[in-house]
Amino acid sequence: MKDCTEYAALLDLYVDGELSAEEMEPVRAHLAVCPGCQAYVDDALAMRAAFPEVEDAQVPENFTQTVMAAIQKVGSPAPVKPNRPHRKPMWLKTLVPLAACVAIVVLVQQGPFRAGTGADTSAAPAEKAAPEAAMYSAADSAPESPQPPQTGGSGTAEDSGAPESLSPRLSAANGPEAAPTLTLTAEEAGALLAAYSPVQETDTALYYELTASEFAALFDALEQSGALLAGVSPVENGESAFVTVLK
Amino acid sequence: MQEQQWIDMARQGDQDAFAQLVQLYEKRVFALTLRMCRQREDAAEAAQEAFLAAWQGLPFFRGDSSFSTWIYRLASNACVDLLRREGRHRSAAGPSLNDEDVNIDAPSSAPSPQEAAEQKELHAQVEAGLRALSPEHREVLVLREIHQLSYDEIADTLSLDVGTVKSRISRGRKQLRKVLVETGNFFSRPSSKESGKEGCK
Repeated sequence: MKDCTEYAALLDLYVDGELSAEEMEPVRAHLAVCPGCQAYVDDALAMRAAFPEVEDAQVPENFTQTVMAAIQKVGSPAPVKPNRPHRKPMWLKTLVPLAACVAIVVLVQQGPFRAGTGADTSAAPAEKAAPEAAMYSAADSAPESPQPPQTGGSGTAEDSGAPESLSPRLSAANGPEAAPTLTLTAEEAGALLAAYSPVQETDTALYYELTASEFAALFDALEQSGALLAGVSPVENGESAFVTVLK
Repeated sequence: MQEQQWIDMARQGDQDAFAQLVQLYEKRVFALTLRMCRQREDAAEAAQEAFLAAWQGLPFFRGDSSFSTWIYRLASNACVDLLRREGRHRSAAGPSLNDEDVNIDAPSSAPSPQEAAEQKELHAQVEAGLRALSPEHREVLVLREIHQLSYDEIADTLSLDVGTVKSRISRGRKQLRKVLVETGNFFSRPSSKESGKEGCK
């Protein structure tokens, strides 16, 4: 006869319907002759019967309306970090200078004045240049907009990848922080981001938005490949990670 | 299938379609957040955040898991986020019953008033017992017993491997049984009260 401890390991699977019909037979036969195991199964089923049901859940009144109101504030499902009610809309304040900075960085990188400085060996020349370019933010050429650049239904933001925004080719994909979570060169990124579609593409870079767990996986892969990843801030569960890949 | 149409439309930015999804899933999401967040206001906020995250994330939802698994995952994450933000700690204190907790659900439609009262009492004991568990054990039991997810689906939702799901369910179940035995008359049979262990061991 099979040892009882082996059956004990199967009882939860049995109770939860995780055993095939063939696997259940010996367990059923054992339960018929073993009061201890039978008691465990009985107790599990008694608890199950006393668990509340989904249908009994009391959802607060007007829950759907509350959710839709929050969604209307946020706008279309294009990649914009949600403007949570209890956070100040800081991204509004950073977006204009950010757009100007990055626009300037793009120009600087293309022009004869290269952005990288001697000591900077990181994969983020754009990040290095951004603070320098910040001094130009006052006299920006990007039009100021009092509204979020991606409002529901305005233009073809989510479809064409060329969202209506402050600078001709950039969206709010970079989120409320002033810099992307991570910037990589195309070589460093290799094929690691091949599974993802960029939320934005310009002549010089591809922009990706990843979940926390996707970003963690990417980070691990990069570490193994030996990429320099100093100063990359962690991404919390529920937050998005913004990854820029320079072409 | 209607739900798939709503998902496709919502992905394109159709808010009415998304509202349909909210109505379709609100009870399920709330059933989870309520047990993970304990306070009703927190549960409501986490549920709302889950749907907001779903709205934001729909363009990136690749459909390799089912929509329900995905929304449960967002709900689970929202609870974790909220509790971390608010700095609250779940204590492992013993079960306690107050009016709000006992009435956590709408009354089930039982045949007789006495049966309804008994059922309500059993629900309350299980709810109290769940609160005594660690969050990890509570979460897998809620997903298994209330949401009736398979081990694979739970593993997918919580980003765990199936072995971990199995052991958490097993330990969670034993722990819940222990709490129910110690605090009340949940199990009427004397044999189960005697043994704190499972099976023939």
